This record gives sequence, C-alpha cells and structure tokens, in this order.
Amino acid sequence: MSDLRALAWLTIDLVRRLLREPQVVRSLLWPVALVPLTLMLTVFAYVWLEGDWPVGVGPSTPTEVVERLKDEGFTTVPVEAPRDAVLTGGYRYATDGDTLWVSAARGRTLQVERVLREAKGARWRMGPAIPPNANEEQGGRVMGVIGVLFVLFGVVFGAAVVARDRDDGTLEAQLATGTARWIHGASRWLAGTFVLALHYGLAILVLHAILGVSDAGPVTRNGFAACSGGVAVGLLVIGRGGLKNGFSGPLATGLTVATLLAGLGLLAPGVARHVPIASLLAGGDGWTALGSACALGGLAVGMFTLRSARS
Amino acid sequence: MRPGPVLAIAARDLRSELKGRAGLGLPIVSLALLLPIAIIGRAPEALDAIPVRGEVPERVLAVPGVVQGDAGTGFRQVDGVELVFAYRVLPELRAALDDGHPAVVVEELHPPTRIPGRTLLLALVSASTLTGAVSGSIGGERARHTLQALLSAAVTRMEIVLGKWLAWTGFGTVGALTASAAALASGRVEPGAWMLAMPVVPGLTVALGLWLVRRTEDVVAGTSVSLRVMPAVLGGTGLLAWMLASFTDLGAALVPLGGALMVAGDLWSGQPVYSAVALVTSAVTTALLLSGTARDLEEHPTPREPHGVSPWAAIPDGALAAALWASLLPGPVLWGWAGNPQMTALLHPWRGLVAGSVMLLTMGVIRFVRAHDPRMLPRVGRPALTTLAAAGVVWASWHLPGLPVQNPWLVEAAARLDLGLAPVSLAAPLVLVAQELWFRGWLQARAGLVPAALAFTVAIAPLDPLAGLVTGLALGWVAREGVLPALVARSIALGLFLALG
Repeated sequence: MSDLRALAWLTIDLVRRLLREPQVVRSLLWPVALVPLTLMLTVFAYVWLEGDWPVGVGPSTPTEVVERLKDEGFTTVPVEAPRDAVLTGGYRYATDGDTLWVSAARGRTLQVERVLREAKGARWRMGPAIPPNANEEQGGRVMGVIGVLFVLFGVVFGAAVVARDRDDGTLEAQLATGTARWIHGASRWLAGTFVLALHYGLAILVLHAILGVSDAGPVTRNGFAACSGGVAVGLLVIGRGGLKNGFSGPLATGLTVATLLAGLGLLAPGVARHVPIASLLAGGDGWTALGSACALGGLAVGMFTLRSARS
Repeated sequence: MRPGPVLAIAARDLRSELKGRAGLGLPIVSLALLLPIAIIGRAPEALDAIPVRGEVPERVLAVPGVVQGDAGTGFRQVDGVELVFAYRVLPELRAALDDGHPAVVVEELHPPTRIPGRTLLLALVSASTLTGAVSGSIGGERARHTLQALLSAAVTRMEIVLGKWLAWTGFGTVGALTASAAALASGRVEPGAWMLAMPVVPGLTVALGLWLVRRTEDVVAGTSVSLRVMPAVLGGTGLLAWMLASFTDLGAALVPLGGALMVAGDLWSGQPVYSAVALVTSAVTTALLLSGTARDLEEHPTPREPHGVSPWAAIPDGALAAALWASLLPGPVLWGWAGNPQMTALLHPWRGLVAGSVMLLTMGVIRFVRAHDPRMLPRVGRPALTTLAAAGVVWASWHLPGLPVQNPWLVEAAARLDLGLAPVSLAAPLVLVAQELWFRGWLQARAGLVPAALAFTVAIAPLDPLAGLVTGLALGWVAREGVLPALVARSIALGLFLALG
C-alpha cells in the first residue's frame, strides 16, 4: 500500500514538474495549435486559388461561348490580348474561343474548359464539378500523424527526464529513500504518458471541432497507446545514460525506433494494428495496442529497475 | 578569438557525447539513415503509374503507365461523349484524348515546377539528427553547473559558443559529406554546387539550435524546444524557398536556411549566382545567431510566470484566447466559403464550444500550476447585490447592435460567435466556468479590469464589440472580489436570456 502511495505522489510530482516547464507545455500545445492553423491557412489558400476569378475573353471569342460562360456562373471581362492577360497575372484564365490560356490547368480552370468544349461539340469534355462530400474519416487520419509527433515527444520525456534526474542527483536521492526501485521507473512512465495523453486528448477535441473525427474511441485508444509506447521507448533506450555519458546517441536511437514503428503502420497494417505507435497509422480498435503498450511499459520499467540497481 | 580554446571546447563536447558504447548510437543512426538515401535507386515504375477508373477509352489505356483501378482520373460515356472527372488532367492523358485533333488548345503559362534532388534529403537528415546533441549542449551544462565554471574560466562566451557550434557542425558535415561521397561513388548524383551546401545547412541548423536552447534550464526543456522548432524551421523555410522559386529565384535564395536547402537540392544547377546568394545569406544568419547566443549565454533561464500586474499581459493571453476561439467556433464556416457547406453544417458549434472551453480550462490550470505568486491564484468570493445588478447589465448588453455584416459566411460566423457570449447549449456550464476562470480569474489578476475586458471582447465577441465590452466590464467589476460572483452573474444573465430573449 505504501508503495502505491509513493508511486502516486512521485507521479503527481513529476507531472507537476513537466507542466511547470514552459518549453514542455509549449511543445505539447504546438501540435494542438498547428492543426487549426494549418487547416485554416489551407482553406484560405484554396479559397484564394480556386475563388471566383473572372474569365478574360478576347475580341474574337464567339458570343455563344461568352453567354455559356455567364450561364455557368463565370464573370467575363473583355480583354484585348487574352494570352498577355494571363501572362501579366491579372487573370488566371482567358480565351479566344479556340485556345484557353491558363496559369495552371486544374480545378475551376477545367470547368472553363468544359464550357468551351461543350460549345465546340468536342468528343471529350470535362465532367461537371463533383460537389465535395462531408465525411469525418480524414480527421482520424490526421490524428494519426499528430500522434506520431506526440510519440517523438514521448521518447524525449522518457529519455530526458531520466538523464536530467540522474545528472542533477535527483534520481540518486530518490533511490536512497528506501522505496521500491521499480516505483521510480513506473512513476516516470506514468507521468510522461499522462501529460502526453492529456494533450493528445485536447488535439482530438480540437480536430473534432474543425474537421470531425469519426470513431473517436479507436483513435483515442491508439493515441494513448502510442503516447505510452513513446515514453517506454525513451526509458528503454536511455539505459544507464545521462548527460555525462552521452545523451544524443540514446535519443537518436529512440527517435529512430519510434519513427520505424510508425512506418510499420503503413507497411504492414495487419500486424501493426496490435503494436503501439504502429497502430496510429494502421487503424484497428486500439484495445490490443493499448495492452501491448502496457506490456512495453512494464518491460521499460523492469529494465530501468535493473539498470538503476546496477548504476 | 583564439582557436585553441574553441577547439578544446569542441573536443570536450564531442568526447562527452560520443564516448563509450552509447556514444556509438548517434554516428550509427546517422549513417543508417543517410547511406540508403544516398545509394538506393528510385523505382520509376511504381512512381510513374497513372491511375484511371470507370469507362476508360482504349486510346487512354494504351498510354504507358496507365493502370485501371478504383482511383484516379474517372471516365464515363454519355450519349457518345466521353466525360472526364479529375482535379487535373495529366498532359499524357490529354494528348491521348485529343488524339492529335484538339478541339480546344489549353496552354499553361506558368513555368514548370522544379523539384529539388535527393541531395536535399542528405542535408535535411544530417541536420535533423543533431537535435539531441544540440539540445543538451547548453541546458546540460547549466543543469550540471559546469556552464558557470566555463564562464568563469579564461574563455570568452563567443569561444564557448563557437566551440560547441564547431563540434556539431563538424559532426553533421562529416555525415553529410560521407553520404554525398557514397552517392557520387554509386553514380546516383553528379558533382555540383550542391556540395557547398552540405556544411552550410548543418552549420545554420546547429546555430539555430544553440540559439533556441540558450536560456533553457535542462535537457528536457532543451530537447522539447528543439524538437518543436527545428523541424518546423527546416521544413517551413525549405517549403517557402521552393514556393518562392516559382516566382523569383532571388527571393528564394534570400530565405535563410531555405535557400541553402534549395542549393543542397541542386535547384539552381548552372545558376551559380543564386547558389552564392543563398549560401552567403545562410552564413550571415549563422553568424548573427551565434552572436545572439553568446550575448545571452549568461542570462538566467526563461522565467516562469512573471509576478505582478501589467496591462500588457492581456495582449499575449488575449490573442491566444482569440486565436483559439476564432478557429474553433466560427472556424468551420471557412469550409462553406471554400465550397463545402455540408462540412460546415456537419461541424456543429457545440463541438467548438466544448473544445474551446476545455482548451481554456487546461491553459488556465497550467498557468495556475506554474504561478509562484499566490496572488495569481483565483479567489472564490461571495455573490452580493451587485452581482444581480451586473447580471441585468450583462443581459441588457446582449441586445446591443453588433457590427453590420453582409457576407453570408460572416453572418454565419457571427451567429456561431454569439453562442460563445450567450451559450444557449448543454455545454453552457463548461463554457462559463472556462471563460470566467481565464478572463476574470487569470487575466484580470495579471492585467487589470479594463485590459481583461478588452481581451474578452476581442476573443469572444469580435463582431459584437459593444456587447462584449459591457459584459466584460460588468463581470470584471463584480469579479474584483472573486470569480464566483462573475460566474453567478453570467449564469443569471443567461437564464434571463433564455426566459425573456
């Protein structure tokens, strides 16, 4: 019972230390803020690029073409030299009825081309623009990518917290208190997982508001498993390392292992859905990934206990 | 500047990171990532496949690389006309469809997009693997209290910074050049100006990393900030330079780091002027960053929450809340503006209310945890008669006219924002607690009543500034005794709004 109480207090203390560190909090809120920012900027860019640009029509453009363009909702503006109108950047598309000059042949431009081809009775034409549908599946995929970012921070927490505490003497002092040694590894794993999972949960809420996340349960479980797995990888790779013994080697190894596990999710989704971190990009209900993450956490705590006993 | 101390500090940094079995990790990981990029060939068949679907004409199927399946450019035959469904029609497909007799000629007038070569990846990866080493370089010294010893020794701050920079720039450069040599030996790339960028990219990345961590207290903070900022800067400046290069090569070359990345990717092969400009820009930026790091090296680490009351504190915290609320509550309206109104309809405002409130609550809790000054903690307070009066004023203010908006999407955004001010929703308790804790509990204690009310207006009611300001001032007035009276006043106002409109 006293061991559990010690575990709880140590975990709370570590969570408090992590949350009091401004750079840690900023780093974890970064992916959460990055999502709405990127999405909004993308939509703004899309509106600007694909917006209601007028069509420049040259003097020789048949009236029928101009009328058809107007009927389709395009604004037409007479221009003397349609090619130059596009070249100088004033128009994104302009025509003389036979040729369509464009800055880029895509999206709305193809709808101008469709009108020209219909007017000419061409053999092939662009189909009418398909209205975009609304689905929330993309939110789950985006969360997978965000989860990979959290995993990288998990590796940092697992490895750097041990390295820092070992080098400033905190870990030595804690080990001398007489509490069971496994508590020190377990508290670091639990604290890192809690702080990451808290911010991952926030990211889900944010994404659900602006893009939608269908099937939030599996997304949440796979994310929590990945956060926990990331911290466990950090604890495993730091070994007996610290700042005095070299920190960059274990960190680079940990980050590479985490990235490779994430890549496994794309390469072998069948197996990957049961593996923490890999399941982020592979899908699955998340229960087995969560179980595997707990097992990986147990292994990391066990290794930490053995190594700290020897160090 | 004496080379002796610089080299000694560089050797010391490298020794401490690369010693023992664990020290082999970084070189092994770097080479394991770089060598495959350098020597493995590309699979052109897989990359050049053109997916098509539907009733694909025979002449299109005959185009090399066309693969029929469930995705890609769609085809359908309607009354003898071939309809094509795509966001973009590839030139190969267009040529096949025209069959030599185009009914309409389509001429693209923008220059073709140039793609950087694989050598870009060598520079990127060699720079990215230095995150850990750079992160611990200053924070670690500070945590071990060895930075003070160095600073009090007969070495200058610039010599310390240069020594650390030299160590990790040298390491990154050796990795990048080794991989470049492997790429040249395997015949995957030709020699060129890109080789000059191989030391410049790691050099600037290390300088940036040292500057970022110059005030961090320990390796946890150092690694967190490096991991957050360095990939974003590497990717962001690279992307910016690449996009700018479509319009102006000189502008792209002037982007620090991004320009050097484009040189590394051999974007300006045969145009040495742009490569030279890019490399000089990055070298100057490196020098500026190193000098900034040396200047700040002795300063105390980033302070936690500042003590005392300052009206300026309302600006960052108000802007944060405004950005959050604007993207989460009216943000989904952008989908409709971009042509997908179904998406806007799907993303109901209650989601934004819940997400925004939970974010505000979390940020508030984190701020309170970090605050060392007990005066920053929110007081509870007791409602009084003034609470009732404030509730009446708040309710009345919600009937004041807002800004005139004509655009239908702005009208929709205004309707969503109204829910943030008067949350007629099951999420109301959460919204009220979150907003009152943030604006009256936290911000008012730090910035004062009027700045907090202004921040509330900008964040929660930007299109109803009168209502927002009166609400903020009235609630702020009763919140001088504690958060609870403001919370009660807002709840009563909401009750009145529900009952009387």
